[in-house]
Amino acid sequence: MSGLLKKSIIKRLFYYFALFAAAILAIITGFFLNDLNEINIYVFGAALLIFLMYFVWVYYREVVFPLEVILEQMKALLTGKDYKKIYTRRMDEIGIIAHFFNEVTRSFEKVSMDIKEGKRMLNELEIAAQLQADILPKASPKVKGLLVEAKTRPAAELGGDNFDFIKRKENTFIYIGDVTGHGVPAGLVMTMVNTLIHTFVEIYDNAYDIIVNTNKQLKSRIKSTMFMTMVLLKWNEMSNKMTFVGSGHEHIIIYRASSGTCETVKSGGIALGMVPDNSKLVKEKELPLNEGDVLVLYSDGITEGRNMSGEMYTLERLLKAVEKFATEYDPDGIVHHIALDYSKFVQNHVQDDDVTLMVIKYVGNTGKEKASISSTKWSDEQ
Amino acid sequence: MNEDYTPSITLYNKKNSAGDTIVQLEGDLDKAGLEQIKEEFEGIINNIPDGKNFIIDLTNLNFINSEGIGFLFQVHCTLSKRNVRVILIGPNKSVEDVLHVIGFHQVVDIFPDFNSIK
Repeated sequence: MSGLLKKSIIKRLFYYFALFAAAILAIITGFFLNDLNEINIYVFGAALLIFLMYFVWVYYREVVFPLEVILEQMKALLTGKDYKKIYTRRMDEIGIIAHFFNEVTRSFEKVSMDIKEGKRMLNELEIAAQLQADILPKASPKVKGLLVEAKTRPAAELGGDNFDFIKRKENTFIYIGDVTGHGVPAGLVMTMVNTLIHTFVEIYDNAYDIIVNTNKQLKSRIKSTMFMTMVLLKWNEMSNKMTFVGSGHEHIIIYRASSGTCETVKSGGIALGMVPDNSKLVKEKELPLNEGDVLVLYSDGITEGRNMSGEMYTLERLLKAVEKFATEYDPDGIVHHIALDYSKFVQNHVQDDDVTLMVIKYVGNTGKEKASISSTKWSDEQ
Repeated sequence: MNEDYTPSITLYNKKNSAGDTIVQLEGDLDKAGLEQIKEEFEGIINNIPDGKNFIIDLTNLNFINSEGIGFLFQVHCTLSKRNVRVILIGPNKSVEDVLHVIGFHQVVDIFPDFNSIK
């Protein structure tokens, strides 16, 4: 019986109340059975009062006071003030409320720490994304004899796609690259490669040596199995010659102005970071160009972009788009319209991979120049 | 998403007379596909005995992209440390093209069928 009462304050109070009621009933019955006299009334009144006071005292001590303690902590929690753990060994209804409060606040604390940690990591990601954005060229360059336009959009805060334009003496090196995956690891590799290429451009004047040495350094530095596909172009503005070294990247699209059609050239080679020595697997080749011809370089985020039905954009669609727009527009217009065409196709499908598009038109000595500086940020604005 | 959008991996319990492990990949090995098979695949790799061959049958693989190749490259690097040779079998034209473009055939041997394995 005492065990049962310990587990429930409500039952205990009811028990006391029942006792109280029974006592009153007994006394009243006693009165009716005996004659009423003064002393009995006083005794009755005193007993009643004592019992009542005891009952109220027990009620206050067992119910009201503990509840006040709990409510004080709950109020503190709800108003964002400091709260304390509630200590009790009670196992009745009040005890349950107290233990519940402790349990809930413990979970709060854990969740709040997880959120803080998440916020911190997000902050650091933002800083890293800014670092990477600082490395990527913000605007398409002015190159003698060429009109160059490029746009990119990463799938996550940090992307694996990258490109750059590096001018040194009469040569301009242009590359487009794609690290496996995206996010922080890809961003790190991409940054490493960018630095290596910039460094080697200062040492070598041909694309082959730059690629071979970049690969050697990359493979020796990173133990990871990430690799990077790339095409490195070299444009010599004195001889008006375009050469390239392919490293496992997508085909190079050439739009021939004379026929109004596209041809594709295999990049060849092997992706950077796959083998320690790629010197026998890559070659520098010439890309013969006539005035008006247009080169299109892209990352597989474009050809493999899916729409809501799961269809891919594919190289075929890209070739059709190039043929359609290259007749009418210069590189800035071509990039703009292909980007639109692509966006219309994929619509709201989540962007799985980084997308990069680069268009280069050989204008020769016509004196044609870029009208204005255009941003390399890919937007869906019409 | 239709049924064919996600791949599945089927494990042939076939070990050939030389004790090699054979695995068949069916469907599309893109980002979604990778996520689905990664864990099971890694479990299989852990049980491959050292010094044997690991043959991946690509006959029924529709599609692979650089991320899928990245995964296979990782598998190759892990296994080559244990002297296990990774061999790819029977890729269709478009899968073979992607493997060749990236240069993966320079890293791992690719044969048209089981009989032509050297």
